[in-house]
Amino acid sequence: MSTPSGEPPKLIVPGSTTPVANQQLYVSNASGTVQRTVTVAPKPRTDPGFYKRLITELNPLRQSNRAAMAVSGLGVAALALDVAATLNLGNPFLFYDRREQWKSMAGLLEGSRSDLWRAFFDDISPNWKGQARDTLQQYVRFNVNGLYGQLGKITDEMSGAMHGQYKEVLEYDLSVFGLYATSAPILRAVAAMSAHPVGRVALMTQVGLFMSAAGNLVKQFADVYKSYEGALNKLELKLNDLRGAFYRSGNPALGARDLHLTPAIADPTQLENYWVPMSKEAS
Amino acid sequence: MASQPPGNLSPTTSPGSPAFGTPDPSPSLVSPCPHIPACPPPLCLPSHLRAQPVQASLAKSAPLLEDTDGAAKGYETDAGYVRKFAGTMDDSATGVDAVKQWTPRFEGWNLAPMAGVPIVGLMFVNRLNTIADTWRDSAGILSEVLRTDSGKIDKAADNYVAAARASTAE
Repeated sequence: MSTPSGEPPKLIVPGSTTPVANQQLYVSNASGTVQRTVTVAPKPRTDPGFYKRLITELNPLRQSNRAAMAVSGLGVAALALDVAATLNLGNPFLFYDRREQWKSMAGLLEGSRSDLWRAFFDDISPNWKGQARDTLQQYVRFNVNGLYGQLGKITDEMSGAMHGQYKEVLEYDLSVFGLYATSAPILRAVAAMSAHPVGRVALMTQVGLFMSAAGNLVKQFADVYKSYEGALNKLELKLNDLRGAFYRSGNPALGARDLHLTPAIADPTQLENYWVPMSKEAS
Repeated sequence: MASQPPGNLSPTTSPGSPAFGTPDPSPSLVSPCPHIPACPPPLCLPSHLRAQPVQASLAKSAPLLEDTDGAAKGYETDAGYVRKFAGTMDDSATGVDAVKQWTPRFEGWNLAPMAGVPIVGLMFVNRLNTIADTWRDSAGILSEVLRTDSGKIDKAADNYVAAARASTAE
C-alpha cells in the first residue's frame, strides 16, 4: 500500500537540459526517509581563455607576416600555408572539457552500478530465497552489470581519446604560435629592406624558410590527427559491443532489446514460488 | 526632575542584564532545528524528506505486533528489504538518466574554424558524435529498464505483503 512516497524534489527531470548548478539529490529509501544527500555537480568548467589570448596575440604577428609574404612575391602560396596552419588551430579547452566530462560520467555510472550491486547482496540475498532471488541475481549480475560495463567502457575510452586530442591540439597551438612569434620580427625587418635587391633575396629566403616550417607543422599535425583513426577505431569496436548489448542484433533500427525482468516476478499467482523469505522454514 | 527617570532606570536595568545573561545560553540558539533526527546544517528539510523519528516507526509496527505475534512484523521487514532494493534501483535509474543528460557532443560554435575543433579534426567529428549519440540512447534504455523493473519489484513487495496479511488474517 505504502508505495514509495513520490519523487523527492529537485530531481533531474528526464528530458530536461543539463543541470544548471550544484544540485542536491536526496536519496531516500522506500518509506521516503532520506538516507543521504548527493550533490550532483557537473562543475561547469570555465574556459580559462588560453585559446582566446593566443589568437589575439597571434593576429598582429600574422598581419606582419602576411605583409612580408605579399612583398616577397611568394604571396599566394605562402598565404595558403598561413591559412592552413591557422585554421588547424584548435581550442584545447574544448577537449579538456570533454575529457573531464566523460571522466566524471564514468565515475557516476560506476557509483550507480555499485549501489545496485551492493543493494542486491545486502538486502535481497541474505533475506530471501526462492525463485525471485535467483532471477534478481541473474538480472543484476549478468544483465544490468553487463550493460553498465558496456557503457563504462565507452566513457573510459572517450575520456582517453579526448585527452589525446587535448594534448596534441595544445602542442600544435603552441608550435604555431612559436613559429609566428620567432619569424615575425625577422620577416618584418627583412621586408623593410626589400627595396634593395639583396634585401629582396633575403626576404624570399626567409619567407621560404617560414613556409617550409609552417608546411612541416601542418603536415605533422595532419599525421598526428590521422593516427587518431586508431583511437577512433578502438572506440567504434567498443561501440559495436555496446550496440550488441542494447539493441536487437546490434542494430538500433531494429529497436532495443527486451532487457526487462520477467513480469512473473510481480505475478500474485506465482508469489509462492518467487518470494520465499529466508526466515520461512522449508515446509 | 529630568535626571531622575534615567537615574531610576539605570540601577534597575544594570542588575537586570546580568540576571538575564546567565540563563541566556539557551538551547534554541544552539539547535534551531526542532526535529528529532536533526536536519543537515543549513536548512531544515521538508517534512516528507526528513528521517522519521524513532517513535513514529515504532508506533507503526506496534499495532502489527499486537495483531499477530511476530509473524506480522516478519513479513513487513522482509518486504522492507525488497522495497529498499527497489528504491536503490530507482535511484540508479535516476543516476543513469542524469549522466545521460550530460553526454557531450561537438556542435555549434565548437565546429567554427579557429574557434573550436581544428579543421583536420572536422572529419572525425561526425564519428565522435555518433558514438556520443549511441551512448546516450543506450544509457536511456538502461535507465528505462531500471525504472520499470524497480516498479515491478515494488509491486511484488506489495503483493507479498497483501498475501501474507491475508493468510495471517484467516
